[in-house]
Amino acid sequence: MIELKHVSKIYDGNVVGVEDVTLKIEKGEFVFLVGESGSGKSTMLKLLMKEVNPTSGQLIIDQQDVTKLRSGKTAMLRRKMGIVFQDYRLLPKKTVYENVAFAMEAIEESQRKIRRNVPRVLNMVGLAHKSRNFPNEISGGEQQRTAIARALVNNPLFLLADEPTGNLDPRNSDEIMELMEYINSRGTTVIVATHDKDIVNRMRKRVIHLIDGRVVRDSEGGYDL
Amino acid sequence: MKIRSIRVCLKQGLQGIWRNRLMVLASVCTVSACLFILGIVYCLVANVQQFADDLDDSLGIIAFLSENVSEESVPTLVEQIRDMEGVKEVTYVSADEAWQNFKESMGFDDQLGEDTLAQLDQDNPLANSASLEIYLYEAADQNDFVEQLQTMPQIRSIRYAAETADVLANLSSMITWGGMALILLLVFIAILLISNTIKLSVFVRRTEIGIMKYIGAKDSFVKIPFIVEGMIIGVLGAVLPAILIYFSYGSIVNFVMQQFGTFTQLIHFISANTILIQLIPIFLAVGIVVGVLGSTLSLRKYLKV
Repeated sequence: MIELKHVSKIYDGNVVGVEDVTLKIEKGEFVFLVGESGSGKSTMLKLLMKEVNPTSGQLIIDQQDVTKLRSGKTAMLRRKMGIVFQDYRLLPKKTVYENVAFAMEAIEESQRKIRRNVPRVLNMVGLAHKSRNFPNEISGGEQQRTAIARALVNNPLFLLADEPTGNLDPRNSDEIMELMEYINSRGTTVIVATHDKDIVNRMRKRVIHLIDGRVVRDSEGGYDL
Repeated sequence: MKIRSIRVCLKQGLQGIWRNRLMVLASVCTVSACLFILGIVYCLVANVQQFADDLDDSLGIIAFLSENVSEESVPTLVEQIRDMEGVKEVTYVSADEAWQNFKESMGFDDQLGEDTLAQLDQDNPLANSASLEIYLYEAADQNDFVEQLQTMPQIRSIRYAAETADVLANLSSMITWGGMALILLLVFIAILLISNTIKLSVFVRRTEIGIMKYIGAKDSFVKIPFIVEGMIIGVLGAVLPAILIYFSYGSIVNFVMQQFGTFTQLIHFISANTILIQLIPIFLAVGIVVGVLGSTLSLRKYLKV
């Protein structure tokens, strides 16, 4: 479903993002991308989101070679994925409901479908009672759950999360990861970039460890095997 | 783009205006202030131009006909001159009419004076003063035109305000070009200021734009709400100074007319209605074009996500 073949990303000034990465992520998998800051986790996610293009190699997402994708088609590719950021990136002037509905409006879904799907997904992340609140009126954990609801509302093939628990306390982090696991159990591929060892150790999923842009380990288990 | 998406974009644009009302207010004020100054300069230039045009119209050429020109040949001559380039109007004034005009202009109000003039009716002192009054479209062209007239045998002598025509020609072109340059400069400054304000308002919302792109929104979906906002800012920013200028200009003209009655017989001000009719399209064009272009150009950077 996602396949990287000898993918390298070298930024201006010869800064290595990732180097010669070859791997496959199948449909329905739960994958942790781990490594220290600057190890290439974010570059990996940026490549998958098509925020940056590989300098060399081939990146295939859902049977489509995205390296050859025209910029106008990026929007269509992104509709197949839900993206969750460490800093939530909610629109501060929209309510929880509107933030989630916005993801459907942006891809031109009908109001009828929006009215049906948004409450359902808010219910799933446990935020039905906060739908009228603005982001600054809810906790960090709730903001992240709103962001996850927004990422899920269009039924993406896979969910990309960049340090989703980075700004949260342990209890909220656990809740977010439980939610991720639940989403994964429903068939969505989940890729989480993190350096939170506790979470990785507890969940025992597939771990792709990056050091200086290279994959040094790709196996199931904890952070340090 | 689907119809419902256009509706969503319009809604987003209107919501954007309400939710970013401080930034929008700042943009509207900037647009209004720029257009207001532009409007004032426009009023000044338009009125001075009008004054020059009035003066232009009042500067005629009087061509005295030679003695051998018969009454019968006058219509042909008038036609011939009327066909010459730049001629707006030609009027024949016969010797009798010239005498009558002279008598009226003397304005004797006693019986003796009138009697004296009446005695001269039979022996017209202006017998050789049949003339043509010629008005050109541009008084500035008088010198060249007179040169042509002088070559015509039917014309005995010519009287015209050579220096005034010259001064007027210079003044007129100075006002036209100076006014145009000033207005263009102001439009340029207005565009800079307005697009900067819009840039700032787009910059404030760069996260929103980024999120829209990550969600999978097409560029057009991201752009349209901002363009709607830009247009509304443009329209509001155009209407406010237009109203302000309409009322303040009207009051100033009324005040001048009342205070300087004699002066206003010489100068005709352009009416506030005319000014409004002329300014509204300029304001709307500048406001909307700048609003839309400013938004679109400022967005470009943030769409590359």
